[in-house]
Amino acid sequence: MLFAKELRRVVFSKIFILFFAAEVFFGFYTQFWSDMGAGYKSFEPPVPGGVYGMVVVDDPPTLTQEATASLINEFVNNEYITYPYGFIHKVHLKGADKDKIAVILSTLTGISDIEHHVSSTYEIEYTYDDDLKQYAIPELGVLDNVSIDDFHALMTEADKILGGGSKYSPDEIMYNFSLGPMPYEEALAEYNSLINDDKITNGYARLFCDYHGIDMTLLPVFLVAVFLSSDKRSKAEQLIYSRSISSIKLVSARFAALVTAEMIPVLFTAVLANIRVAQFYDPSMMDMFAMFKYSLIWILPTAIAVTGIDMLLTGLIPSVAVVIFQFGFWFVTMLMTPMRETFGVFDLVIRHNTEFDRQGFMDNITVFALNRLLFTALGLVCAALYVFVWKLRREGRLGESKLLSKLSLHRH
Amino acid sequence: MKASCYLSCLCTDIKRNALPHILAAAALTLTVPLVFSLTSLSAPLSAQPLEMYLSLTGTLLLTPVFLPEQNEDIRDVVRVRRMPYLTVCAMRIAYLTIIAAVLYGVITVGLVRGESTVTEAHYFGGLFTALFLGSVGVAGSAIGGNTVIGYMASFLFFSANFFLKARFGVFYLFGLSTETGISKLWLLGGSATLIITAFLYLRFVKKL
Repeated sequence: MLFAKELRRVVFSKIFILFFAAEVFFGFYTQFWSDMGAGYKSFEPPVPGGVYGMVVVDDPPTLTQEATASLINEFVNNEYITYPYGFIHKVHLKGADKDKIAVILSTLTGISDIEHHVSSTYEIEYTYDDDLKQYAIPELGVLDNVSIDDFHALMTEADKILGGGSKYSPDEIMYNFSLGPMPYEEALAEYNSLINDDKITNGYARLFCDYHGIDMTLLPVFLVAVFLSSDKRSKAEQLIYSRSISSIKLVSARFAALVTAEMIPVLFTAVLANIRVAQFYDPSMMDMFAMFKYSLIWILPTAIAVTGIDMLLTGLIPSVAVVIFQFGFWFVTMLMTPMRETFGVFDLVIRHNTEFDRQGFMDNITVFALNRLLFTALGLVCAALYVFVWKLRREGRLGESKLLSKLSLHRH
Repeated sequence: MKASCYLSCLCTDIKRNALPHILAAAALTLTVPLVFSLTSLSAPLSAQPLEMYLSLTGTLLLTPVFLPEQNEDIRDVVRVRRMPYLTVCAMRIAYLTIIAAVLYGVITVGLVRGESTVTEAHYFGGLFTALFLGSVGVAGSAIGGNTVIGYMASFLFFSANFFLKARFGVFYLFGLSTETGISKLWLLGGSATLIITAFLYLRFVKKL
């Protein structure tokens, strides 16, 4: 059977051994396995009077006060810290943009010359970087006629003026200015939900998939690039082209073999993850199939999408370029994707960096389902397009482009 | 072997082999001011673009150093030439290192003009980081026998530095950004060791 033959070729290759090792080490051992034994996780029910971490709290006065004070301080210094691409960016506004922030602050506080008001009214809490001042602005409240919705709209506008990625953006503002300690009752409810609703492993499976999803977005490109160029390297390309086998059959077998091979380390580590979780919880209370179930609905679509896209790209451009593009895409995605469960339909990487918060995940389950279906479909469409590209090459109707040949990039 | 032969070889290599990789590294350099601000940064923040981003120029430039001869036909032609293959590779690494140094110079000047706190340690520390990443790619390419494996090694090592951090000890890449105080000479020494290992492997195992 062709699929079995292709799968054997993949799993007995040098690149698969590297892929397997990288997926197990980076996607599982250094994250899931190590974290569980790191000592900072508690596997016992929470006890009253403990510390249970921070959560977003619904406290509009604190939110509006702290966010406005922060914006005022940055406005007075004319230096705004943003992270548009995951790295620090210091924004210095001029002209109209600076005036727009002044208007936003005036709308929020009712003070027209905010710069003068702050420097004459409030004390400097401390200075930093030689001449930047942090004012203590304790009692400055947002005007009563500014509703919480208007406040969010104004802060979103400020974020847009700053070029995005600021602490005033809709995704970040609550996490920057409205955090509070998690109450005992909430911590207990989360724990009970993990034990009773999630049967322990369903919660841990989401964490397991969170880590594997990151690596599955990058690692398949190396496997695809090496595997698909192996025909050319072994000088078997022309021989395969001349065989009677249909293009769709061969490409389908290879696509299925690659995706199956990519899932081997995930399913292998799913077994290890069950063993690891069983070291800390009562195994009789665990759902032993959760890791596998989540791997198939969460990670398999990623593997299908990435493999399909990479196969298509490898058919069109040199494999080295595909590897660089894929890494660039992955790097930017990683920098810009928050670890919280605020994923959308078009996010290839789905983050849920906790074994808790079942409700947060379930609230987003429709988006999750649409997302996974979309990327499965995208991967299959790309694989189908690759059949077409491969067929054109086979028929000699698609060769190396002159530009790529000139640059000697065609050498695999 | 005449110097003119080496010069001719170098020109051909730039034109026929390295140009797309040099352009990719230059494009990455041009995006630095978009991704990072270069003005009024403290010493650790000034190191971020040099260590956590621009160091990828090392991967882009050095990893494909064996790419042309990955094609068996070209490798056979190279074998029968009088010019030693590994000397050509060493020459490639040398001029690509100079290009990396120039790209680092551009961004360092940008940081200086932006009145950020930047010293020689930033420039050389960043450059040694890039060289180390590149040499991981060189070693991966040589020993793995495929440039894609070189990229895999280099990209994974770079990415792992973000979350494994100090577990890499003296070979942690972002020491200036996180102020570990570990000398970057370790990275330079590591680069030399990896490149020499790769050359010895090709010379004595692959008989090139």
